Order: sequence, then structure tokens, then C-alpha cells
Amino acid sequence: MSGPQVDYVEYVEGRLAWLRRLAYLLCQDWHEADDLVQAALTRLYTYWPRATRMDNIDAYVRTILVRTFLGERRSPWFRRVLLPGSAQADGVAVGADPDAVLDVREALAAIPPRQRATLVLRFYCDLDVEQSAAVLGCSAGTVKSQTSKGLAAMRRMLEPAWGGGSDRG
Amino acid sequence: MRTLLSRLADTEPPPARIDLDAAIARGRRRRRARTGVSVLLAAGAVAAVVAALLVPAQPSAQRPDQQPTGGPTAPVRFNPLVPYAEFGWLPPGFQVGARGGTMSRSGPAQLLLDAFSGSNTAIQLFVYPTGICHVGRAEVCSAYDSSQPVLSRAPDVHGHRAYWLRTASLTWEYAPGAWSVLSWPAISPWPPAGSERAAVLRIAAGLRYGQTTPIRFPYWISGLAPWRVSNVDYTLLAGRPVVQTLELSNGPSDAAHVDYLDIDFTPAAHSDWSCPTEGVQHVTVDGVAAVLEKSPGTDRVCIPGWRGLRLSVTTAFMESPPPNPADVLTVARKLHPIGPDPAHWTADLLR
Repeated sequence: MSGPQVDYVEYVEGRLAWLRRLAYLLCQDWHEADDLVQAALTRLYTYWPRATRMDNIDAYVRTILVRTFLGERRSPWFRRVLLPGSAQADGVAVGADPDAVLDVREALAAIPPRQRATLVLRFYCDLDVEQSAAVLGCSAGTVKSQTSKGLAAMRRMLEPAWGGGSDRG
Repeated sequence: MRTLLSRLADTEPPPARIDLDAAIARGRRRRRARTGVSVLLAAGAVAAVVAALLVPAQPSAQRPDQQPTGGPTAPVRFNPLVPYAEFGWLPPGFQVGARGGTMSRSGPAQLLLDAFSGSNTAIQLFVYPTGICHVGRAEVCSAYDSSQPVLSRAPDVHGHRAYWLRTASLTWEYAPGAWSVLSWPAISPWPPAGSERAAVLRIAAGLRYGQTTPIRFPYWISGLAPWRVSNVDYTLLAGRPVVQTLELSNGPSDAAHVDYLDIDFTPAAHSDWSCPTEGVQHVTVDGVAAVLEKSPGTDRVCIPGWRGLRLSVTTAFMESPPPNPADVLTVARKLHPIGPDPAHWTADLLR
């Protein structure tokens, strides 16, 4: 392998777990998350020379991943319907509080992809409004309104599990 | 939310199915095919179109309590350009504005009022016109297509029936057939007790309905059809509502296909956001230099300096490519900027 290719492989191997978790939050399905990561990594390799010139490759890859995710949802061929519970059955161990985890997953799956991506960027990736807007390719105002709507929807669906008082909402 | 997402992300994943060799092979083919073509995603080129005007809001908490003024009935549809209600009292530390990462949003079937505190917690109030929500035996509807189970009866709000909801919320019928829902950033048991309970009820009792103060805009629009105003994100400037983002749609929200546009602005002298410079087409709007940026699912026209304003029209969350890729440019050409001085802004948006 050439030097740049070695760098690419090293980078991906070091970030694969993070990318899969981020994709999983967007998709709520590990198999679909892997498909998304695969597509993002293909695109990343395409632009790897440019990526290596970035100050923050992680941010660049995150943008690729989120936009790939949203691009799939926008495509006319994407007709998948996410129903409550449909993101189940991928044989995942869910830890100490499986019911709560499944509730969150189903609630995320039930809100529109843009709202979901906005919440993931704001509250999982800890991006501020402007950074989220840059990733999503939209205005900061739209990020704010999507945050409001997403939080409100999640709040309603999660009921007692909701405990967002310490981190906005 | 952060905790919930982290907990979900920390679930044990199955073995990865990622094929790195395939990613490299496909990526290499794409790289060859796209040699010389500008990349889609360059972090430095993806300009954030930031609606700024983050002005200090007049704290509603400083206003005296006031009885609801909505009268015996509520409309069946709100005017998005005139927020129907406002907070009359908020707990110390909470204020209305856009700096909390969210903002108030005025639409025909829902008014969302956001109040946030310095600790980054928020109170959200939803006001619905007549006929949107109905309380049955066990639940009340919400605007997000998910019912909210009723927990128990709450003290009446100004003589109107009220219920505690299991979603850390209080709902009450502020006019016949018209409901408000107050969502509280609670972790403690619900319904609340003590001072928390008193604060929730005081917020509910202090809401002012039937407000007539229109949102002011730094521009006006001519010949908007077929687009219509669907929502207005707004904040308060000197206690009066001013637009932050204007959302337009080309059909009712329940139509099979609806497209949305966002119009954002900031004073041109502000450096909080700028128009993109890479991967754009150079165009003119009313003789003024502008750029047109296209990316998958999102088109944006940005005018960096137009009568002292920086303006942006963006396709927002479209489910499919726009029927006419020039839509953003068409709408931008209907704008008539007034200027950055709020004293001259107008409530007469559509002319």
C-alpha cells in the first residue's frame, strides 16, 4: 500500500467504532449503520487527499457521514418506512436498562431524519448551533427550529425516561 | 438528551461488516472519475448560513402577572405573523430569546414559545388553536402525532380544566376546545411538588393570549405565490417579536409533497456568517451580486450585501429535489430589503 493509503487505513481503523456508533444513532439499526459507514468511507477515500489537509479530519468525516445519511433519505428511491419497533431484531445486547434504550431508539426512529441528525449533532457530538448548521448545510435558524421540534417530539415519546433538564430540555 | 443518546450509542454492537478494501477500490474509481471536479463536501466550503441577530431579549420574568386576555374563544387557525400568546411570568433565570439553541416558532396550527435559562434548560410552551387537541379519557393530543397520557387532574387554570401529563407537562384548556401544553425541564417526580409546582402553575396562569403584536421583518416580499408563510422563527428585540427565520412552503403541511424554503438574514456588517465562496455560481438579484450554491437536496442563494443586510434563501429539508432548481433564486428576487435598523422594519411582510 502507498503512504496515503496506509494513512487512510490507520485513520479508519482508529475511528471505526466511533463512526459506527454515530451512524447507529442516525439509523437505529446496526446493519444499516454499517452500510452508511461503508458509503461514507468510500467517499472519504475519494477525497482523502483533501481530507488530510483539513485541520479536523474527524469533523470532515462526520459531515460526510451525516450528509450521506440525509442524502439517502432524500433520494426518491428511499422508501423505507420506520415504524416503532421496526429497528428491532438485530440481536443487539442493550445493556443494563434495555427497555429505556429501546425506547430511545424507537423515539429517534420516529422523528424525521433531519431532526434526528440535528439532535445527534447537538447532543451527542456536542456541536454548537453554527457547527451543526455547517454539517447539515442549512442555516443556524433552521438548526434551532429543528432542535426545538426534535426535542419536543422526543420528550413526548419518552415520557418518564426524559431527564434532559441538565442538558437543555 | 445527551445522556440518552450516549446510552444508546454505548449498546454493544454486532461485529462490523465494513469492507475497507471495497471502500478503497470504489473510492479509487470515484477519484479517477472525478478528477478535476470540485468536491461536494469541503469543510471550509460548506458555509453555515447563520441567522444571527442574537439580541438580548427582554426578560419576561420582569413583567407583572396578568390574567389571560384571550376572551371566551380561540381562533381555529393562528396567523403565523402574529404570535397568539406570550409568557407573562417566568421563573428567575429564564428568558425568552434565541440564545438557548432553540427559539420560539409561530405557525398556523401551533405556537411554540421557548424560554431558556443560563444552565441551558428550557421551558417549552405549546399553544394550539381551537379543535387541534381533544382530551379524552386518558390522553391529550400533541402536534407531533403522539398522544400524551394524562397522569391526573391538575388545579384549574383560571377556572379552566387542567391535567398533569406523564411527559413532565401540564395541559389546560385556555378557551373552549383550545389547549396549551407546558413542558417542564424536570427530572424530579411528576406531578411536581412545592416550589416547582407553584412555578409551573404560575407560568400557566400568567400566559397572555390573544396577542396582537405582529412580528417585524427587515424585508418585505412581493408576489409570494405559490409560496406561503408556514412558520416564523422569532425572537424578542426590546420586548417585541422580530423574525429570525421565515419558513415558506408551497402547500399545506399534510399534502403529499411539500417543499420548504428558509429565509435568513443578518446585518451585512456582522461577521457571524458569510456567503459561500467556493463551488458557487455567481448571479445577481435586483442587480446585486449574489451566489447560488447547490448541494444534494439543498439549494441556497446568498446575497452578501443588500441594503446593509446579508440575506439567504435556502431549500429546507426537501424530501425530493425541487421541481425547479431556480426556486431559491426566484424567491430571492421577490425580496425587498429594508435595512439593518430595526426601527425601520415592517410588520407588513406580504405586499
